[in-house]
Amino acid sequence: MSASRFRRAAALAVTGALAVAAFAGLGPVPSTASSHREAPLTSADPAIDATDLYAFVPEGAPNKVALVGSWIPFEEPAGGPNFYLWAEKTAYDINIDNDGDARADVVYRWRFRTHRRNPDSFILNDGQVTSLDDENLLVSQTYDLTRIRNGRTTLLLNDAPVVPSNVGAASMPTYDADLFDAGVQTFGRTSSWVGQSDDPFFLDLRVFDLLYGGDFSESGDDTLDGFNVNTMVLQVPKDQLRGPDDGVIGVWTTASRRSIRIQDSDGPLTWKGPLVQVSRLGMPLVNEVVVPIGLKDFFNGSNPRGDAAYLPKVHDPELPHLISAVYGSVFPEVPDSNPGKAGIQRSDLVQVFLTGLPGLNRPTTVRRAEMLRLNMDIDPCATDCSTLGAIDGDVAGFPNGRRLSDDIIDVALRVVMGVLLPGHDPDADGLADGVGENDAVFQGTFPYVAYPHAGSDGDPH
Amino acid sequence: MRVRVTSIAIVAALAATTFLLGALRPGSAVDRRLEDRPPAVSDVGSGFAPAPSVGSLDATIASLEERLDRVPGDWRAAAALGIAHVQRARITSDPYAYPAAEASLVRSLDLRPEGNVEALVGLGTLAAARHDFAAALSWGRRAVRTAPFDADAYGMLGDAQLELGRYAAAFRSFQRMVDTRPDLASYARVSYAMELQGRTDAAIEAMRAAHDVAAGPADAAWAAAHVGKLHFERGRLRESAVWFRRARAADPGSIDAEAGLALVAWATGDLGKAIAGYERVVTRVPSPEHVGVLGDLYAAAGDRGAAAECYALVRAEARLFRANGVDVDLELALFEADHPAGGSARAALRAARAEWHRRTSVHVADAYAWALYANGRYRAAAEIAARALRLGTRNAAFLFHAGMIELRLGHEPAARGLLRDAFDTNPFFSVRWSPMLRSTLASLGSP
Repeated sequence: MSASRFRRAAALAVTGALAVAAFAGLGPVPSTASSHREAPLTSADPAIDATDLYAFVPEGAPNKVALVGSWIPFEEPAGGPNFYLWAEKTAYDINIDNDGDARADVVYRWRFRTHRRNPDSFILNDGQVTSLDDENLLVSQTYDLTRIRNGRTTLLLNDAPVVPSNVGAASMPTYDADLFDAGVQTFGRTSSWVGQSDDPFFLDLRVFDLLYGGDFSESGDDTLDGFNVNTMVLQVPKDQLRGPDDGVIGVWTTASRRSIRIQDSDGPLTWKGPLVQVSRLGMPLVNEVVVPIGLKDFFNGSNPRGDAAYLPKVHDPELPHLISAVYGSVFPEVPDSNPGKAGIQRSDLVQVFLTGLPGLNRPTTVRRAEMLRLNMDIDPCATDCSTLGAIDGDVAGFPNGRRLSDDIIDVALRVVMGVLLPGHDPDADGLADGVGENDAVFQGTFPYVAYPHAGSDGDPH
Repeated sequence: MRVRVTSIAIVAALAATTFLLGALRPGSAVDRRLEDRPPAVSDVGSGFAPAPSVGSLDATIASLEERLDRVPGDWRAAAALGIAHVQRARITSDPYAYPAAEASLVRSLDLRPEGNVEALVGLGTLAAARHDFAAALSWGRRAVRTAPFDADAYGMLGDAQLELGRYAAAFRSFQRMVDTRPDLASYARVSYAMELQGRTDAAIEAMRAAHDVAAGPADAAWAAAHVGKLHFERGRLRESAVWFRRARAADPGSIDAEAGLALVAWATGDLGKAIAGYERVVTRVPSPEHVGVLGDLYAAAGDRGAAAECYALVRAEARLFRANGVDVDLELALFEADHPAGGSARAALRAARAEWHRRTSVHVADAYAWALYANGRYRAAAEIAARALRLGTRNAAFLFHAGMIELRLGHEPAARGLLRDAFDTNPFFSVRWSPMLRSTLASLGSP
């Protein structure tokens, strides 16, 4: 379910959160037949829907790495319900491979607890909330943060406060200062923040009409403008992540829950089932470009060590064919890195998605696996920075990790149409969705993400 | 003013139903009674916890249609539109949406015949909603072949297997589903598997897990109400009230919570409150299930006229469902066996036998056995009742039916044991039959 901007594109393109709310509503319905339980048709589970992952070396903290994970797409600031909780009984992980073997060497794990001052009320607040432990805050969450490294589990934070959703100026008049900023936890050289933020991703989702044979000539609006997400930001010293060979780390985020054995034993239920990974996200747009339809749950449950299975799709993804079909006069040819060989070969996409680019973010030894690869030894950009990142000469940006401001759609459109290939179609250099920056301003300091849109904003989009 | 506005809404709702059914005239006794009531469904919901409403579904349907006008090739939107129509039909108990659902799902599959698991799951769900479980099974098999790693496909397949009485296969499908994606949908199915096997506490634990991972207030309310129902089915009124109230807190518009609290009121002897609650339920969702219970509550209060109107409405609704391709044999058989009137017992037996030839679930076995009982066919009834109990389900109605059958066969010790078991499971299992369970046990000398 995670990562799938395009599965959600259909939903959003129609009416945004409305459609999402309706999908969420596919579950609870009254029964017309007393004899069989009408369990939900399909499960919308936005709390385990990872939207984006970012990893970068912050300009103001060049000896550290910031890891940012966004979850729960299309949080409508003023829609009801207008506050968004992390799931309990769920492990949210950010995994780091620091030696290129496609195994997690360091795992940061967040687990959440929900606290209700009144168990029979689901209202977020009863009066103004001006601090994270304000007694008017009726529903609050805390998190435990642990690190698992070399088989050792270390509790880093215990019962740290989650910054609540911004339900509006009347309830939270000093949200930014007293709630958002107050959520920063610092211990040693590490900083942690968990709460609601503006969705850092910006794009015109109508580009995904391409996947259904539509065009994107009408693009140019940030269709995520005005939506929030739940976000975790962690900033750790590079030396805590560095592997034996080099400074390249591979990062991906997962969520896991426990399964249940139906027929193990009689009597009370015992949680004997295994921990099942239900979400996985590394590089943006992987589901759109790489993962075949029908393998959504498979990908979400899969381990990077098995990613060589995607090799055929990485070599010959669907998107360039669709672009070529819709814009045949501009792109008569689907790019091919090895035209002499039968079929489409895309060694450039294999590098971008599976191994890292040589000389940029490829580990010394690498097993092909899909993750966001960051070379920590490349300094943050100071001058001539580009939201197009490495394809525009700014090597501190995507696909060398991913900064909040990187223009993923434009980069992805150009890369799939071959800009990394010598002699590529020059029209590929100009592909864009017409949205070049986010609607809200990112912060210069930790936690970097922008303040969320308030529930009292009459027209957030 | 508020009362006036609300009663207009009630009359409109009932009038719409009766218009559709051609069964009841507006202004009938039930209508008048409802008009006299205080506001039923005004201003339900707060900004924090809205229910998934018909209105929001209508908006979704409209926007998906608009989307398809703009991008006609979007097979996902077409599948989503079909599922939204199925959903609407289920929420409103209005089967007219099924043909529209089918058209949209077929369109999606035409657009994308390969790998379109969304459309396959949608078509299977539609078949199941029409109670054509054999068709649902074949859609489900096709869905898991198409997407062997899709949790939804296993859920839909398992649902079909379950309704067909293929429990071992169903539990395997559910196991695969929860091992693929533990979430509200799969935990809820695990809970049902536990419940069918008589493991109520495990069922409650699994449903509480579903509640804990619920994505929003409406989902949380759905799961909480089911925890309440599971407690109620074991006669634990206090716990069930706690969970029904929790469901109502999460979603003030929860029909499950309203109906559950009304039944708790009845079980604690407050018939007036129970009737008021069920009238609110029926005003909003006039499903045969709810209308039948309301009729039983009226009958318990001695109002035979109002009860008869409800029962007539149930029968009319059954005709409406059938006319729209929904097989209601099971539900109708139980209803007719419960409410014998002028040859309806024979109709019940015909319907139940027809269903038994299609599928052999414990619920069908129970309805068939009870219909056989209503027709005086006690030996055959006993054989079939044993099939209803084959999973060890702790279902007081199953046990009551089996006990009454044994009693008619003259097997008093067996009857006493079964009826005692029914009473220990849930003395409040049925508005209509709980009093008879008590009196029969008393006459058998069981404390």
